[in-house]
Amino acid sequence: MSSSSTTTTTTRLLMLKASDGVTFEVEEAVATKLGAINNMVEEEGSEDLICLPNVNGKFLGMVLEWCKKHANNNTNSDKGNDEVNKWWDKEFVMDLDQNTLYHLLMAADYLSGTELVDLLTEKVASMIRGKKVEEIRETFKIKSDFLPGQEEEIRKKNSWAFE
Amino acid sequence: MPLFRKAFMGRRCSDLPEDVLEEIFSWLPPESLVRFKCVSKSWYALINFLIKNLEFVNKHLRNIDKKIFSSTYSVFSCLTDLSHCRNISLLHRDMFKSLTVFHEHDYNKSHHLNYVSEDFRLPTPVCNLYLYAALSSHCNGIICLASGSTLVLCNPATKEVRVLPRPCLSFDDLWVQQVVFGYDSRANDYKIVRLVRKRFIRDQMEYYLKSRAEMYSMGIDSWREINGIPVEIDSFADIGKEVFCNGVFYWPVRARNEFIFSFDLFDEEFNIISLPNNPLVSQRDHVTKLAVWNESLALFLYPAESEVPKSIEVWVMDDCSDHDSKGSCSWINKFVIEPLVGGFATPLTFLKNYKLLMQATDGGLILYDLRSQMLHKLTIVQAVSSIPVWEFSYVKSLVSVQGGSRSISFMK
Repeated sequence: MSSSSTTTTTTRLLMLKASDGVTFEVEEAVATKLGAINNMVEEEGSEDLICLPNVNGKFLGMVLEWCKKHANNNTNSDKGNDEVNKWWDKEFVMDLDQNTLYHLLMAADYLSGTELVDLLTEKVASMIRGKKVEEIRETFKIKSDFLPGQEEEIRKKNSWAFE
Repeated sequence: MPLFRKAFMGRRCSDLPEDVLEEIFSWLPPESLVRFKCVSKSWYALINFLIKNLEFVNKHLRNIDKKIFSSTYSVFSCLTDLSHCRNISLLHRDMFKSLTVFHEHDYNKSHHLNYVSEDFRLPTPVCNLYLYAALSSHCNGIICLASGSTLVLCNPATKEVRVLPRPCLSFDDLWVQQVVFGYDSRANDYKIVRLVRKRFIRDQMEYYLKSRAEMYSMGIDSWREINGIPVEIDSFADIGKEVFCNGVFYWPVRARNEFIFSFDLFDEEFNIISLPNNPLVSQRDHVTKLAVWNESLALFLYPAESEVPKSIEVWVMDDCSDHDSKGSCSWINKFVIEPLVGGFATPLTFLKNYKLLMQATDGGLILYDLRSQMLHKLTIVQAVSSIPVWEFSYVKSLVSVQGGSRSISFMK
């Protein structure tokens, strides 16, 4: 992508409407970072208003903020820029609480923002990698459904992973 | 399409859909995944399914390099513990150490370097393998150990170990010259190449027959001989100095003249590559060492005299696709590492993010940042008064050592 191509093609604006009625006006190049939007644009073509009934305005805003940054940065991609992107990504998810992270991940998954899903799932993995089984159950709100003795058997078989 | 959904339609693990959970799992180290099997029945089923699934295992492997949180580079080394070993030639090859250095994508913290050192005792295989004398090779988290006609593959991160079928070239009096292990991405198969010479004694003199080569493919779990060794190689340079890059093995050879001997896993072709045309190469006292730089073959070149401060030239092989029968490849003098403050250190291997691992004269490991030219001493390795005798970039992967259909159950 060169800067000349962005000046020759007129920048098309899309309206994205979240579940709570909040709307966002974004450049097509930004919104199509999301696979789901890209598909809609390619299929429907002329439609400028896209309704997203599964995403709340707060999280759609955050997803679009990420898209904007990455759409801009892709125009002059080189090795050094890649490092800057990674640094920006890290800052972007640095202080997200568990609840926000969850909703943002669901939004990114729903909108098929593959790279953003990568970033968020890596963040989740980095938070849980060292945790104990009990802590994982608490974090993900899961109840153990093993029969008595089953869990002990798995632990015994893989004791090295519990050290 | 998420893998698990294809296989187990409609099942859900907690609040997160399986495809999202699968993405999260693809970033976790093997020991966390194994531990999390205990969370619930559905996690158990999902993790068991994924770690046997080639597509997931490959994605997990790719993600190791892509990580931006807790991005690491690991070096796996085998140590000579001087305190337990009076005779330095006796190496404790059952004592492995992995050194993991955490890389921060944060310019402010570039002065800060975190690293952990972990011990690895190799799972003892059922067979008799003399670890002290074993040749070793590493690729994508799997270590291949070879002693005589016994070969073992192991993945320390999953505790998997397997004794391989007997090679086809296994005679009584055998000199195993090389055993190397690598990944053929075009065939999506792991392969081993073994070079051997038969020895015989006549009139109290030792003779060797010509080198013969054979290849093992994990996909079909068997060995077969390969022909076409273009030159007789009496002796390779030091054992373990070969490198593997893009499906090709490269060995440094020091015969009457110096060259690089290569084998392409996909084409199954041996080749000879000449060194860069450089005045240092024609001098007698110089050191060459192979490495991999940005997925290309690279070469460290420096004078051998130990007293003087010396710089290290780094040459990178540009293009070898159109080389003629003489094997002339074009080399580019990529950069020069100026003499380091605090004395000379031997270059070992490039790590990601422009880092170079070096070894000081006292045996300690040094991490050198090529861009900032900063040195970091990794004191933890020195602390055990040990010298790494072989080292390589190591990753904790889920790659299975099982060959054939790979249906054999994991982690028994």
